[in-house]
Amino acid sequence: MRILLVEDETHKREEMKHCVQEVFGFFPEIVDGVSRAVLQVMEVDFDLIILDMALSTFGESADDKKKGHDQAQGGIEVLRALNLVKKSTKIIIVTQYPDFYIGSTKVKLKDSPKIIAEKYNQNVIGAVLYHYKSKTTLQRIISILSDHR
Amino acid sequence: MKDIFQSNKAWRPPEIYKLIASIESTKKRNLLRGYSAKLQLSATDVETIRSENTVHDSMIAGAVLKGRRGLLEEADQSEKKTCHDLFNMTSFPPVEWKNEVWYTAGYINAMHETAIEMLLVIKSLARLEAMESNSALEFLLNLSKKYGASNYLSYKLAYLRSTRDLSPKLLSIVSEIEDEICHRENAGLHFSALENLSSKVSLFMVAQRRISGLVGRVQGDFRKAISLSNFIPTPLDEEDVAGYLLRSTESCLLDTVYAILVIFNLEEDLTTVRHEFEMRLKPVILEQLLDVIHFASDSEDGVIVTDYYRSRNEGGDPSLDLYRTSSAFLERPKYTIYRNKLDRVFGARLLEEIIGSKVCTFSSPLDSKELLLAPHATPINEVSLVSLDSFYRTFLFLRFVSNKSNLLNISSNEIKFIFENTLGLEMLLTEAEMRALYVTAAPETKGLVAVLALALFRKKSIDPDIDFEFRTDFISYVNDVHNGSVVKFIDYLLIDSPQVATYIVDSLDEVTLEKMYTLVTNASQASEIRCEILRALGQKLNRIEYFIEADAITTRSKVSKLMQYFDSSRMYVDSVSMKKWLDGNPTVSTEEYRSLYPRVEARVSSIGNDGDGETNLLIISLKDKDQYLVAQIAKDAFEQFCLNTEFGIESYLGRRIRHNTLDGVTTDTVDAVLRKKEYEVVMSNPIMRQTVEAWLASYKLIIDRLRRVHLQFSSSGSLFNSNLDLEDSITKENVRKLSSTLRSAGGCELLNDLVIVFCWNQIMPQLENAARFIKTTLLQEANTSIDKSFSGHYGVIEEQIKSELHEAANEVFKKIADWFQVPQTGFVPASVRDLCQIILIELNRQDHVAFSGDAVDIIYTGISVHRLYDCLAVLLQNAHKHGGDTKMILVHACAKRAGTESNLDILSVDITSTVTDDNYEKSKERVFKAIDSAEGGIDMVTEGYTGIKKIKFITRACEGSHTIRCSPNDSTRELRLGFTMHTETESKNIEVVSITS
Repeated sequence: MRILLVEDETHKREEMKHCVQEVFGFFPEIVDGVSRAVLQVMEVDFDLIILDMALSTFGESADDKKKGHDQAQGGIEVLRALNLVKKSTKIIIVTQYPDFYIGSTKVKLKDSPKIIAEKYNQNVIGAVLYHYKSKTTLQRIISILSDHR
Repeated sequence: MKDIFQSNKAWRPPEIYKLIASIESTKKRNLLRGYSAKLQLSATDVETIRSENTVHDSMIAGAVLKGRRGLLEEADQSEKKTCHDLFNMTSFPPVEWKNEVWYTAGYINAMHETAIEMLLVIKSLARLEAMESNSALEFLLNLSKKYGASNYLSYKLAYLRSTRDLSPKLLSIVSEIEDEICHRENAGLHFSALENLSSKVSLFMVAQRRISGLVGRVQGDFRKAISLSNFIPTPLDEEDVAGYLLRSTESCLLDTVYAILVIFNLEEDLTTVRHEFEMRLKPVILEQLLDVIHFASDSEDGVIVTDYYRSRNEGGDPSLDLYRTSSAFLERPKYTIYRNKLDRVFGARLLEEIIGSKVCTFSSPLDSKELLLAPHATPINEVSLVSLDSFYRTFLFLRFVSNKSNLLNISSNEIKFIFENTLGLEMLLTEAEMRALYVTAAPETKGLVAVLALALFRKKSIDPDIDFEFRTDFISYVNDVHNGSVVKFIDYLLIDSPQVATYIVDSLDEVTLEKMYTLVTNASQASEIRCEILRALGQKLNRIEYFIEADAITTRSKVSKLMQYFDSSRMYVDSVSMKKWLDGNPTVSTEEYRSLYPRVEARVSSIGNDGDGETNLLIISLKDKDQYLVAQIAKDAFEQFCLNTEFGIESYLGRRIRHNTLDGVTTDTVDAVLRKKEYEVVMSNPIMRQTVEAWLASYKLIIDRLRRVHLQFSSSGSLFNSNLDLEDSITKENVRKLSSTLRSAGGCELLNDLVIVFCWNQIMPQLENAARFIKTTLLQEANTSIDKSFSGHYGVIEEQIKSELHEAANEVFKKIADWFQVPQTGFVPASVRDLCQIILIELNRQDHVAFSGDAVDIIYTGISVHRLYDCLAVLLQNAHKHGGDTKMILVHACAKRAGTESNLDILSVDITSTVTDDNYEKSKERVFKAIDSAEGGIDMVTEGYTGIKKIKFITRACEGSHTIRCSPNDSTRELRLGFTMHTETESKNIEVVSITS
């Protein structure tokens, strides 16, 4: 099983990483920018992707140490890339906003799985509103992961 | 005693009651009797009166509401209308067009004597282009004195201002007219006319700006707002006649009479409307109206586009110039017909966001591919003299695409030709047409056509899916045909389609390039590609601005090395991006200021030679005007400074909130307290846990309110406001300082730089207030919530937790408040020494350099630092290359203040190097040759934008003329090269972060 975690914030990344480890017993592959995420998902078939929405283009691990421009809906770029290469993957969205933009339409996080399925043909198995250091958030993520083990 | 008998019922003259009595509908008559007693009618009252009337009643309604002492007129009709009165939205909707014609005719008939006077005025100005400027302006002055403001007057005035080089004396008459119509009370009215006429201001850009500001307010009716209606000064069809007439009747009588003239001039398309007017207007008015048209028809030979107008926008399209200027001559049938024909295509499409999908229905399709692809300058059989240029070809193309089957017959070369020889397609084509263009392309040409069509589409559409589609097709095309090289693709386009290349390059900014994931691997590569394509384009098109942008990218990256000295958690606005945006999007106020400035200067300098006592008054009037324009410029810029999605403060706050900085800062500190080992025991108590959770919930509410309300510009409880209150004393003072600094800068070159400094000074109180609010009010709320939640049942331990939470809350809110205390302007402050040291690292030469002068360590900021860097780099490279390796390079910098109230220094830097014996004469000759060479933008491109020429260009751009100098010392073989420029010092309000410490 291959899991990809797309997350650029250190502490959030650590929390997600440990959630995956707790459920699956191994750490996910990690990327911290839109560019690498897009290239990875186009190249590799992941079984599950945990996706943040607001990301920089290249992340802190960029070879020139420049993160590039911020993309408020960078996660959607990953979904577009998956759709482009005709892959349909399980996705968990973990974001801090109760609503965000898909295309040019503002959608509520809870409604996003349906819209993403229609627009980008991806299977969103969870859309989680992330709270910093919140046990409830982590339990929710672990529960979704466990359901799809 | 008098007050006792005062009534709050309106008094109306007997003729109004007579008119009301003549209304045929009993219901409407009674309604009007009731309304006539009201002091003021509401929009709903007027809507009720105007709706569902017979011909007769509609005409009476027009007379009762708008006629002399009518219910909608001011009690004192001797008072002239001002710009403020006219620059309003219509508050009630138009009725069906015939009803609107009857209503208008009733109004005009009721005012027939004045209406005839108005027609005589229009007749007198129908040949405005042939009048002497002085007499034309005097005429307009008298008109403004007698009748006040009107859109008609505003257009005639704007025409004179845009097409003639008015002397200071004539400008003072312009100022008088502006005073008469109270232009400064509400500048929007006259600016609207100027925006439509001035060849210096992009019509497309202005339309976009106005639409984005008004689309939400006009509820689908562009005639509601005068500034939108002015983009289409002729009716698009019969249906539009209704809104068109209402717009004019709600303006003033002169505008109404003019609107009827326009309709009469369009008799071919609006036959029934004209006929309806002919039946309803009094014969005496009709007779005069036809006389004006007859007179105006005989005036067709005058040239309304002047050389001066063309010189202000060299290379502009003649058909576009005619389109714009014709809007000031709609009493003349040929210009009305020409304007209307193009309005139905351009005007409608410019306002597509409001008008909607029917924009393509106003004009007839064109099926002639031959005409569309005819060579440049082919004469066109138009009502006026027009030959085929880019604007007119765009007009043809837009009609051509409205028949989708036409697209099937277009080859890829033809598409390239069309893209190369049209303009503004990204704004003018509808999304459906772009989609059709993309989908209909033949398979063998699909790659290129898809890229071109999508490049247009993404400029128009806000849908990021379209952007992704563009990038995907672009990558695939570049991979297939150009070996994955964006630069090669642009080179290919540059061979025979440079304008198409410009289209594409506009689309390929660094952000987009970064998102070409399979082609571009990091941000530096994106910058490099952008620089390369900009330079290629600059070379091909002989356009220096592309080199400047390329150099700016390089300089930004070098100067940003200093950025490591900053604490990245502080407030940040990308001033470099803002400067670029302001340069690329001038407002009417900016253009007005730029054109006014030399005249103020000329006048000031001539004061000594002029014994005329009136001169002082003139100077005061011009300076007053300069300040008012500066205020307008500042207002527009400040809005962008706050709200622009690319560089504004709002976008910065959004990023901070999104990226958890706020959550991290607010949660970590209190978490640390609650997780302390020594509190584990007390925390294991369920009641205590409940207490803590309840407090955390209330604490999070405070933070959430900060995030959702206080830090959002649009919210009512926001700590920030993007609207500049020009009546506020601090704002007034800042504007005054800006005006005075601009004067001390000695030209308009630094206008946008200084406007950005103004914005920073202006935002300071808001930032301070935000900091204060967070540190006091919010902190107090957090402390109160701690006190309320922890009641002290658990003794000392609980007291200890409370006390630590108080401390933690204090730390949290102080930290957040700190974000707003020391703003980062996006510019890196640096001294001459700092910049030289960076350059010397690049040159791998840090020894044998000595600094002297009083300005070596003065910290400069703003875009001056970038200019300074560029100039120093040239001189140091020069000194390094031509001076001996071990010879000392001397850097001398001295400065003096540009003015007592100015934050500008006049900085002079001289760099001296000692040249080897055998190279001295050659080097000296080369330097002098470069200094003496001609300064032309094209020369800069063809001969290279480097070295001394680069300094010449930079100093000319910011000082008006170049300041490079060379003083050789033949005996010591020293070459001393230097320059002088205005440089911006750190504002006292903004804390200096010294990078040398």
